[in-house]
Amino acid sequence: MLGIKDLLKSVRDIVDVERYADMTSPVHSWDPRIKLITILFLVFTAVSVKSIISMLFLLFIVLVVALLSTLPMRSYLGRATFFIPFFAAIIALPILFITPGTPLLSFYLGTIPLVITTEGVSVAVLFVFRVWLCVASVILLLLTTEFPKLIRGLEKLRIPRTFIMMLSITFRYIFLSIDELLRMLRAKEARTFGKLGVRRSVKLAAGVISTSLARSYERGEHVYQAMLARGFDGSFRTLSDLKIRLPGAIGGFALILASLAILLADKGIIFPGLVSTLRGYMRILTGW
Amino acid sequence: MHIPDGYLDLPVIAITWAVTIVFWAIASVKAKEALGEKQVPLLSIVTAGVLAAQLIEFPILGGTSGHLIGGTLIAILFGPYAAVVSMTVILFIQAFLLGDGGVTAMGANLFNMGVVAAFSGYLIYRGLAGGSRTGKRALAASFIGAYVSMILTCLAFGIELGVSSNFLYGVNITVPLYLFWSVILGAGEGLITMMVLGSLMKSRPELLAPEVKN
Repeated sequence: MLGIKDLLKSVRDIVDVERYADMTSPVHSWDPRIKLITILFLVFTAVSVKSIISMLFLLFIVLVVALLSTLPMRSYLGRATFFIPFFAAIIALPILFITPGTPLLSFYLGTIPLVITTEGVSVAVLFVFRVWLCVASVILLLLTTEFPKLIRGLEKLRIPRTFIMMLSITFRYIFLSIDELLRMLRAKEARTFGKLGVRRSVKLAAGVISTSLARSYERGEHVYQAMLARGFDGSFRTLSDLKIRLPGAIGGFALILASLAILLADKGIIFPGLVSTLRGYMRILTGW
Repeated sequence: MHIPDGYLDLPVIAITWAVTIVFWAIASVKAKEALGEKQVPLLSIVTAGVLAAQLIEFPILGGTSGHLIGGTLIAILFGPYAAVVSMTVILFIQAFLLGDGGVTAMGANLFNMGVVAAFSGYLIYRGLAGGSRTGKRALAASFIGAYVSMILTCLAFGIELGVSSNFLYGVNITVPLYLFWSVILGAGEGLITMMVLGSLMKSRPELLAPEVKN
């Protein structure tokens, strides 16, 4: 009731992510700047390519990096597949039937005739595969980079300081806020039994949220005063331990080069005809 | 609600990012003026509070439940510019820590849930509430402001997805579908915003005092 489970699940998610991010592997030790830029490039390539062949090449790259990262494959692939690509697949269901083209499969749902077309399958597969590639790439970044390090990487990439400062303070206080909400919800749980009506629950949820916001506000003022008392002048000074090392630089460079090659080949700028030739072979081999 | 990566194509990504960055640049300057140069810690900690509050499940009609999105609520409390900055931080953390919402799509998500929601909700609220900060009129204004802001947010979502060549359906399907959902989502957001504001009016009216506004 009222989402104690939801809250705990979110906390567990964050803790899980940070636990994976705390592992050691070649990919984990790459500089966060390199990872950020590389992964962004990978996602942009996935968004831009049009052929299934190019996507298969991208899949290969993603899997190689995932293997290098020594993340437990099962939970990595599970995370990458549920829930976003799974949801995308549900969204893509109607397109199987409404795309005009050669019928692949037809059946009756009750008395309604339904026809799945080859073109429909093709469109849906491309869509879901693309979403999967993007999510799998970004998750790779999440699971191999601790959030504070990512923030430091952004700082080095000259993202405006105000934003960096807000990010790091907010990140620090999320857990305190969640903890406070949990305490309030538990207190309520301890004092009620049975199911509250919708009216009561809504009122209660509003009270919990407004109290939490008011307390955040007060906390913000106290923290700000405390920071002032300790000489805060509107900017943070951080000791940066970020250093781009050779393996990371080579890895990032290789990945960007590879995805650039895939992008250009997909557009037919380099290796013209390669993608369509491979697509032809695939059609002969799989009939699709 | 958040658009994941892979739904939007390059032109839509580029346009939404460009528009959002312009708004963000203006907002960060204005928010500094409004909140005072050094009040960044205050806004950050309230942002953390909003992030946590978004995790609370809100029972709406029947068996469905909703979550606060908060653009309008923050805008009413701290002004629209601070709300844009605050929503930026929220969406960034959701994308890079929780994996919720895409990285390439962040420009669009920010535009819809930050810029559109905060400004439309705030302007409608101010227009309808007149000078009053507390009382029934301000509450009604906050409900309508948050409701309409969600309809506009959903309209923006529908248009962006509809014109994207990477998405499966055109504007003729996405816009009506999103508008249909916005009626329900908007009612939820309006109700939550109004109830939270009402509760704040009772317990901490000083937070709604004019001097924290711009």
